[in-house]
Amino acid sequence: MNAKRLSVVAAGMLALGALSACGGDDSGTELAGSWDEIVAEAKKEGEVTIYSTHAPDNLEALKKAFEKKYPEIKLTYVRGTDADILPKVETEKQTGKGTADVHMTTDAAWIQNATDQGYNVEIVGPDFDETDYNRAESVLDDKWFLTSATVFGFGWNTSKVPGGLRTVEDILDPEMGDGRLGITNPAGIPTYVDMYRRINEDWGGNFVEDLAGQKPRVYESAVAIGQAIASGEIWGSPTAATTLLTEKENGAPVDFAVPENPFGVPWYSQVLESAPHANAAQVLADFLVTPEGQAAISHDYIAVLPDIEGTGVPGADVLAQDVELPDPATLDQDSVNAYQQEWEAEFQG
Amino acid sequence: MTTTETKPATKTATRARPRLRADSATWRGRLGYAALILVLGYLIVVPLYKLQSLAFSDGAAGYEAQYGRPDIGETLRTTFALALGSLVIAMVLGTILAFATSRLPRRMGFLRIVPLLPIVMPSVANIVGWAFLLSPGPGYLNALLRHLPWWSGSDTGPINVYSTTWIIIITGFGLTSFVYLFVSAGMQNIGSEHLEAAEISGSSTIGVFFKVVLPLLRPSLVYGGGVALLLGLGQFTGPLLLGQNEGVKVLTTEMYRRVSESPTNFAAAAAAGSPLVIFGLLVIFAQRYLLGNQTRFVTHGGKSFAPTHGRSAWAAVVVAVYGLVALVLPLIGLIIVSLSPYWSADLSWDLFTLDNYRALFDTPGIVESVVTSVVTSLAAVAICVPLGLGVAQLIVRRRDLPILRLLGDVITALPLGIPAVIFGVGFLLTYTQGPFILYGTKTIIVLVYVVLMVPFATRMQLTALVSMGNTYQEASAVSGAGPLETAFRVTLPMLKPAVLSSVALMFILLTHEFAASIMVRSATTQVMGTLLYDHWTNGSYPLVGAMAILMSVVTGAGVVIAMMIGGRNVLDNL
Repeated sequence: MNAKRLSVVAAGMLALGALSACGGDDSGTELAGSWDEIVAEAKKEGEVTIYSTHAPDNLEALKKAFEKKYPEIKLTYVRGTDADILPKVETEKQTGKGTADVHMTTDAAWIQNATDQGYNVEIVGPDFDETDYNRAESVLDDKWFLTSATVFGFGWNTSKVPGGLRTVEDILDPEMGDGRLGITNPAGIPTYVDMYRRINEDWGGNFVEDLAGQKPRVYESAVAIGQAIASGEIWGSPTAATTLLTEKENGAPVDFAVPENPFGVPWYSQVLESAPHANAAQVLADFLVTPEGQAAISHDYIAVLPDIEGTGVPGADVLAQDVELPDPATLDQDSVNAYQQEWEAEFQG
Repeated sequence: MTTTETKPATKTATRARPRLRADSATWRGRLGYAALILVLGYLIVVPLYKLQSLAFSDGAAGYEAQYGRPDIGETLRTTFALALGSLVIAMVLGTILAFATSRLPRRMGFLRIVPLLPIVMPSVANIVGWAFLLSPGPGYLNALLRHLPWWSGSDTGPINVYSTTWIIIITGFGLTSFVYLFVSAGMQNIGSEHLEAAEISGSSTIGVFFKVVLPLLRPSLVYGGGVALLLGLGQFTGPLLLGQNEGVKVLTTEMYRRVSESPTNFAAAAAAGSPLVIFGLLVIFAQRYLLGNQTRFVTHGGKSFAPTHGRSAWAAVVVAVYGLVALVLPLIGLIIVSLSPYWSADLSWDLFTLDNYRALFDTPGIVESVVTSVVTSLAAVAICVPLGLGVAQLIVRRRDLPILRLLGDVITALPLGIPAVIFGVGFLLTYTQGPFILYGTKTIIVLVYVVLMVPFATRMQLTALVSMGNTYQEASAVSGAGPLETAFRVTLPMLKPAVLSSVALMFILLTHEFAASIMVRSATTQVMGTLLYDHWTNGSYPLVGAMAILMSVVTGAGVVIAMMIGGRNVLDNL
């Protein structure tokens, strides 16, 4: 019996010990003085983490390019939708237990609020001041920096829709009804709320209702739509991402076209106040706006620098600086929630 | 067991002892058990309490936010349809399977393990496998069905795995194993004399089933049905993975949405979980009331007969068909996708590739997630076994501590009645605030796993302790062994099978835990199931297929190791 009692006490101690053993393990590092010192400290920190809603293939390319330039620093990326990532960034700030160093998003309202709420620190890298980057156009409050941009367009499976999808009429063709189109769910993603509002206006004033009449399938993200088009689960989408171009290069039976009046959105990034690697975070932020960084992160997307090979979208000859951030005033919490419920009633009711 | 609380015959001995010593020993014991209950209470009750107090704060704003949604009626209807629909499927299939396995021909005896295997297969793997088979477009089984004359000519369907109906059917299939567990345990207690008597009196197999077996099974059917209903209400994986497409929502997925939107609304999530908590509590208390005194269930005793095997070939067919549908088919779906460059109904041998398995090692995070799953599961099991043994000892042997016993009994039953999602949300809320900020650590995963598994650790060791009775320990004491010697030479060896099976069961359940993990994981601290889900929502289907196979292999390896240590019958003891 004593042995049992001992084991009971031991178990209790174990559980308590496990609880208390977890104070702050890494409280984060201090930012060094000059840029050379920052780079040297970053190499000592040895790792850096980015949270991003960009395409997984581009983030993988970014990892390779960054680690090639800074072999001493291991880059970890976490890819998800804004709905996945924003709550995590919020929790990390609240608990003071940061994992992410750099965070990249398209959510205009969130971008506006974050600076007021002290989420981020000033960026200090030298490449933000390069003429081509156009700091005045590209950096908000010395904290958020323009990183990339995308346009959503028509994507289709070439073996299912040999003629392709070129116009709004092609999308609303009865042939494409009954689950053959795929669209993204705007739940928790204000950027998509903005997208549905804008294409509704730009594509005929009643486009969303007509689209709902097509009974499209609903996916969590544009990346998932790309995969579903490649697999033939759906035939096409009016709101595909340019990742389809990468899939096409990989040999998947897909194609992509930019419609008239496309909806585009820029990505902005911030260095987080809760970053566990203060120096490596600045080094990564700076790398993102260098030509090597842009070639990786903006491959088949819209770059922030001119003349970067492999970037850009056929039919949309623009730079990321030309793609406007949505007006945050139209994307407050209540109006986003209200639109979301309206959207669900229309598409899933 | 100290002498103070046993037979009157030993009372004189007690009186002869110095009072002080006896008292301090008694108090040490009480304090030890009180500390144990406090720790469990903090782990299990505090997160639930925090959720509710948050939901009611600010004039019950959480309830208003959740139950003021225009789709809440539909959500509630779907929740109950899922629970009841899957319950009916699981009860019917589980009972038929239990009867069939009891009638298996002797050389087909190995088939008895088949109905349990779906428990070994991770639920995320199983559901993803079904999606690969039954997605209306590229689903392989759908593509095959479209070759049938009456479905030809269409390029989608006939089955839509994303519909409510099919989510219910697939959930019901998953719950069948749990019902089977309870019913087959009840079936084993039916003496074969009854069956033989009925057969000799001229009853057919179906007659025996309806007139003898079913009435005798009533208690286990009620109990197994209750458990399956609770599990059905708390179902999360199926609706989350399959329901997105058509907007199928249940209360558990609503909880997930409320804490994974920005800004997070814990109050609304807590409110969404309330009906499930209340229902779980009702079932737990009803069970306490119905079962009453546990010692009535001592089963060790002489047995005058050995169970005989049946001679029914149909039984083997039934079990084999179930195994094929519930296990082999989804596995085939996973294997085909994992060997393809992209998921498509047009298969061709030239496209088959092992790239996705190589990608398991190249894709960041996958190997880490396997390590995290195994390490956190083992840690949780290592904590659970002594905790469970402590509570079991308290409940079975310490009649002198009625309040602590009752608390231990009820607190350790809570995680069985209340869905894992709710504990996940409660832990996220509790441990992202002081005093213990554990967000982003493996510790929070270990702790929530401990909570989920405490009922199994406690119940399985408790059952073994109860059925052992006091006689072995008394015999040991009479033969002159001290309490320590009795513990090590009699109690523990006798409990070994129970401990080993509980370890095996807990490890299996934890390595594919999903519902609580997805709440408490952070971006870089992921277990296998949560990372698989991330790749699923990103649409990386071939990689998801390979990950699901990897997950099944890890769990399968756990089962094999458990069998090597605990003998081939470890799974039988579940």
